[in-house]
Amino acid sequence: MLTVDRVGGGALALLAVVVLWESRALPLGVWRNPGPAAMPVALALGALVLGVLIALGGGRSEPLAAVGWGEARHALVILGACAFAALALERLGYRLTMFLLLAFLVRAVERRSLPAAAAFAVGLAWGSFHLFNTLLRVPLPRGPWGL
Amino acid sequence: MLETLHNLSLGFGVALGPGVLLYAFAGCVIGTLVGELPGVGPLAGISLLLPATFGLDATRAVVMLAGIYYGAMYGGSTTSILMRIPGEAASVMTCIDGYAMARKGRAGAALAIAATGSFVAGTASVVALMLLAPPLADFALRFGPPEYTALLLLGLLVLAYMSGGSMLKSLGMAALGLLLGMVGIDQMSGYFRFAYGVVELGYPDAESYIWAGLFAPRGTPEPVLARLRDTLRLAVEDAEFKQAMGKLETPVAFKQGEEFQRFFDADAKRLAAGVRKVGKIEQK
Repeated sequence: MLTVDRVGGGALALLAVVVLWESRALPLGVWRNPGPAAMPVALALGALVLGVLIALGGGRSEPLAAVGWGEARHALVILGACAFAALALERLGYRLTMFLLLAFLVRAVERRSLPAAAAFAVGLAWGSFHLFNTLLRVPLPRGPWGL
Repeated sequence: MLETLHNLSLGFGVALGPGVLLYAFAGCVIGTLVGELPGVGPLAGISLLLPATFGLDATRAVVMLAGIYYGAMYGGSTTSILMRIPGEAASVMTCIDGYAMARKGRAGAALAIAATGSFVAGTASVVALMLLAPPLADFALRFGPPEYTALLLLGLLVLAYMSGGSMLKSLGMAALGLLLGMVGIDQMSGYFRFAYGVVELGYPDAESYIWAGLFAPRGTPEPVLARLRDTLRLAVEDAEFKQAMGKLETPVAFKQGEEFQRFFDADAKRLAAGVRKVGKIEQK
């Protein structure tokens, strides 16, 4: 039976195997002078052992089907929004990225009305740009459209 | 102890000078705004706002940066409480209790508790740092890689023990967090790990090394320069210092004049070539 611990432990072990595989391209170094692959490999081996132990001892934990996924949407939305902000900041510019990010968070996550979300996003994106870029002279990315 | 108290009174004397508190207030307000932005923490905030202090004298600039730091540390809790979106890493846990209080209509109380907690913990940690920093600084010089590794393992074990529940799961999550931290530049070797060409994770050809130099303004009298050079050379060639840096596998070298200029030119040329290469990749 699939339980939370079996799936969690299995996922951790799988990730550890992926890290071990991907670390092949990096020098491992020697014991006295470890290379860039040493720490990821050591951690991945530790995670692999822990993942297997968690999965093996996870027979009595909660069944996976009984888990409520109420928080999953919220977590995924925030993760997605953060990833978008990280990738878009240099490409779209500060104001456009912040406007899209805030409008999405306030409208889709907080479920505020469209005019309120748009006003908040425009005010904060352009206001913070003016404060940091113009008044405090912090160079912020402008993107291809100067936004 | 008396020296610490003397330094403290000196610090208060400077910090309470005319107009300085105004910069502390401005720093706190700006820092709070920065802290409220998701993903921008105190360190990123200080790095971003460093140019804002270029026009200030050293005292006001440091006071303003300290205000920005503490403001950002507190500001992260505002979005945690009101929107369940942590403004920075330290306020992730505030989402749990703070947002629950906000849902019950007690957002104001939650914000007040966060502000009070931030003030009390900030003050207590500064007092502790003030008292413990001198002996800790002496002690830290004796630390090498084995000691740092032991300290890291102690931290992980204490974390697993304190978190309650299954120690296996706690250690597993700690290992997962550390694995995520492996993405990006390796600070010891300069290698890029698991970056896969994503520009936000850096480019191997545009990596920068850290080196420290002491510069004197143009026109500084030669006797002053000579004294600075001699003092610095003595410090760099000190056996205890060299041994401590050797433990950290950090080479120590003293360069000056043309020798330093050649080193600086070569490093600038290497970095410029890397940055140009990144620019070409960006334009594709």
